Amino acid sequence: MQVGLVERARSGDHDAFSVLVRTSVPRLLGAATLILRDQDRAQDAVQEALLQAWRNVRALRDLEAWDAWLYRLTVNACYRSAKAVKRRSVVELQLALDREPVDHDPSRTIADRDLLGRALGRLPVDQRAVMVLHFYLDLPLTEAADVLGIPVGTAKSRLHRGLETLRFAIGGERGAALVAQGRPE
Amino acid sequence: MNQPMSLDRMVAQWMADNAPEGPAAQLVDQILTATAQQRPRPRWLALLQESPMTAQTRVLVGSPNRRLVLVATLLLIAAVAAAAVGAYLLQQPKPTASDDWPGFRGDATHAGLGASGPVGNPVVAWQATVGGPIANAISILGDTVVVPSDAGTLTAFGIEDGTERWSFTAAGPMGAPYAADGRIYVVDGDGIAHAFQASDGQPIWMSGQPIDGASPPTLANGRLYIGTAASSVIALDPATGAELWQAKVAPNGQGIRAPAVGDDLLVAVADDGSVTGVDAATGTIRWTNDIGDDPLGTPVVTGDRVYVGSSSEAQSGRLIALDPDDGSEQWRIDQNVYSPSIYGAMGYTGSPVGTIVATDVVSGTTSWTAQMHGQTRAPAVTDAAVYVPVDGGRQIVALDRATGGLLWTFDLDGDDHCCIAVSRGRLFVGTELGTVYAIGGDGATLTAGPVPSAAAVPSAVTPPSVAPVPNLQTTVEWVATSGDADFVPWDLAKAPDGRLWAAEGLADRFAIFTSDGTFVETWGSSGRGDGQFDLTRANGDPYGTVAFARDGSFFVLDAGNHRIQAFDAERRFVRAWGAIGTGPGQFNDPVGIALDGDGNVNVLDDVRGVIETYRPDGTIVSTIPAFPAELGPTDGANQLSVGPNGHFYVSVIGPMVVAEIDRDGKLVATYGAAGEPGSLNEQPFVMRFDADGRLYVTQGPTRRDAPGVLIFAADGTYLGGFGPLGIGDGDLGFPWGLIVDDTGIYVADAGAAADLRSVLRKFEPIDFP
Repeated sequence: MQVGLVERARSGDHDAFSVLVRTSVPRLLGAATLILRDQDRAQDAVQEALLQAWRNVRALRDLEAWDAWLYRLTVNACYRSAKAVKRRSVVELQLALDREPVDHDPSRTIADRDLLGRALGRLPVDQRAVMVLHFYLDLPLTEAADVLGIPVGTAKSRLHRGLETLRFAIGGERGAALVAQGRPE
Repeated sequence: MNQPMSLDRMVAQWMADNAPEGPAAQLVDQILTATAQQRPRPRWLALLQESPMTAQTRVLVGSPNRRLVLVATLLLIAAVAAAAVGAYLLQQPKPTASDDWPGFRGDATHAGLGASGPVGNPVVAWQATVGGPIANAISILGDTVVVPSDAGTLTAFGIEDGTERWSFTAAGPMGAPYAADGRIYVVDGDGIAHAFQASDGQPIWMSGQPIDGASPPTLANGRLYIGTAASSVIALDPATGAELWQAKVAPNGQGIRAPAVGDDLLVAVADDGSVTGVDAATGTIRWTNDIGDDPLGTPVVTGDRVYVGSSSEAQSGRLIALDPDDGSEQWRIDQNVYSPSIYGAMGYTGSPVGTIVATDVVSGTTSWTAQMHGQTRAPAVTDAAVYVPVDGGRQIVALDRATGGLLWTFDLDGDDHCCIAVSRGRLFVGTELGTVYAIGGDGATLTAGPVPSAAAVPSAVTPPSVAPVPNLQTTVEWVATSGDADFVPWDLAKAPDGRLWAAEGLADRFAIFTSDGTFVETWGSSGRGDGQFDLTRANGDPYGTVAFARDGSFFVLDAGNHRIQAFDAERRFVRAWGAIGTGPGQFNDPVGIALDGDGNVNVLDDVRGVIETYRPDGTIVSTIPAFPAELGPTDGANQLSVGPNGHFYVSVIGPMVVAEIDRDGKLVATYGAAGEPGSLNEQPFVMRFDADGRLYVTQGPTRRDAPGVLIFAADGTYLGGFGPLGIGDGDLGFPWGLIVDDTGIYVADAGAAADLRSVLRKFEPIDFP
């Protein structure tokens, strides 16, 4: 189904592209928002990525790589946005995401979530990108590395460093309990 | 009971909880509105633009070795061309061809063979427009030319004068028609097959069920064959549309390209790279050759061979000749070329890198190779010539069939994106802008020029009278930058105090210089507050700029914030107006701002397609179309200027022209149109005027040998240009911003955007005769 739409889009069929956009935007926007921590800039990044996808859709050789390519375009747009914000030093990132989540696990405390959210926000954007691809988009690390255009070892080390930072940030007994558990593959 | 959650799971859960919810409908609408205004780039350009993406050893997107591949291909071609065997083909018997051109690549064999093309230099016999881009084949049957469009139309014209005879409209892009036996067969965008009377368009039958992923139809042996996305070829009764047989030729889910039929053999190529020979009468599979690898193109069948080249979507590939009896491979050429058009013992192929290769199809050796700029589509071949659409170059080229020497080129208003038809002494071409050209000849006896090569293409394909070269003399007085390593100036304005304001669009600020090129300061910052800017469009293009009034007050086109901000001469914020939207006083994609003699503020909105005039207090004076209907379909515009006559000047993209529009929105003139002296061969950007009313236009970095600034007299006569492509002081890379006054010519060169040099330059005034 999607491959057919991608092929039609590649031949210039804007209707097919529209279907792909409607399907893709929610998860791209989710990923971009988690990476940038600013929904407005995330929307800009997603828009930029999809405009580029349309313009260069004929560069796509493997129709099944559509999703991976969109992830790459979105992450790259996020990188540019984050870099621009850093360079300008005048735009305050809006931490608009720390809304009250649905609590699925009674063992989690609001304090833990707050700590985690703040710690994620302080991670370097490249570590956050790996985490979003792996934990939010459910990509295996090999695919996340392909999307990011980095060796899988680099992806692993970024994920590792990011998780270590989170563990340290949460700290205390809670952190110790977490350290004793799963490590990234 | 509750175990502590692992950190991995906790992070995943946090992300799932905190990611935004909902379909983001407004964002989707914005994206679709923006993309609907554009078309995908040609494949060759997309491959050049897009960074490669690989997974292990597979290339998923782009081409990591694109430059290396091109160089290697050219070297190989040059070596093989040295052993040309052009005389061989002269000994071959002349093939015969019908003077009709039934459908995709000619008749059912797809050999691309036409009976007679234009004689002499190309002359437009007639041209017409249809409702949308023409991306599929044109059919010719008797005195009727049938043209499909992506807007869902199928239009029949008289072959002599282009008179429209009938038209049919359905949903979605119309497929390629096939014309035979007084009928037109076509599959519409919903997959419904139709049969019409060719003479009057009366419907004969239509299929009850849609055909998913239908290929262009082919009619032979009293059957209508269509490939489907269900890995099958179906044969219909052309009299009734009833299904005669269905043959599954590949595993599930494979699309089938347009089947070719020669004698009793039908050949189908599937997306998975398999080639299958099928009994055309019964649908029985005779053989399969699983070639695999890169996507294959549509097959060509002659009595002796089956040919399969690369798909136009493939970055690499080869041309393979198969035995029609058992599908075994006879020879292959390891070049990325498309399936050939066949004349006798010679095959003529296009390619994604612009080569046109003549190959002896008996031995597989190359006779001659020509090189064009762009993607060369499937040729049409006649006894005398090979006609080839060049996508990316918006041209048709005619080459001497025997030698490959250039006979002529013909400029189109857009790329062809498909194929051409040859019939009754004329060529028929459809473009992405929906224009149909019928090109005849002036009867002159032509002598073929040199075979176009990589080095010769610019001069051979674009003669100086059409695509100009820099010919005006001027001297650089100074070259300046701000000293910032990231300095990239886009637009340029001159304040009444003589200072130059270069818009650094990507930094949301202005770099200010004295008129002698001394950098003074930067002003502006990113943001959405009063006095803050976002000078980029939604796609990141830096279109924000400034326009000064005579008293030194000024207006900033705050493009990304969808507003105009007004400041006094002391740079104090006065007011702002506008918001994102499509109504009066709103901005969807504002790209140009210009003040007029009344001090009013004129804004060009690319997506709204209007020029809206405001008083300095932001109240609306008037709204007129930015793209008069006479321009035909456009891809939008880059900039707006007001001429000394009070008219608006809009730098239009696709067709690339400067449009002069009066205050009532009527098109007065165009400058730099294709085929005229001083034609633009890149996007036009900023337009300025000197004291004598001459029009100066900047054009972008892919202009090849053409000047960076073109100059037209007030009466539209092309005067010449200056600024060859380069990074020297007197060169121009990506000239965007421009100021012309009695002190000289100031150019903002955003060259870094094209890996060139980003500077401001001042040139001395030009002495015109």
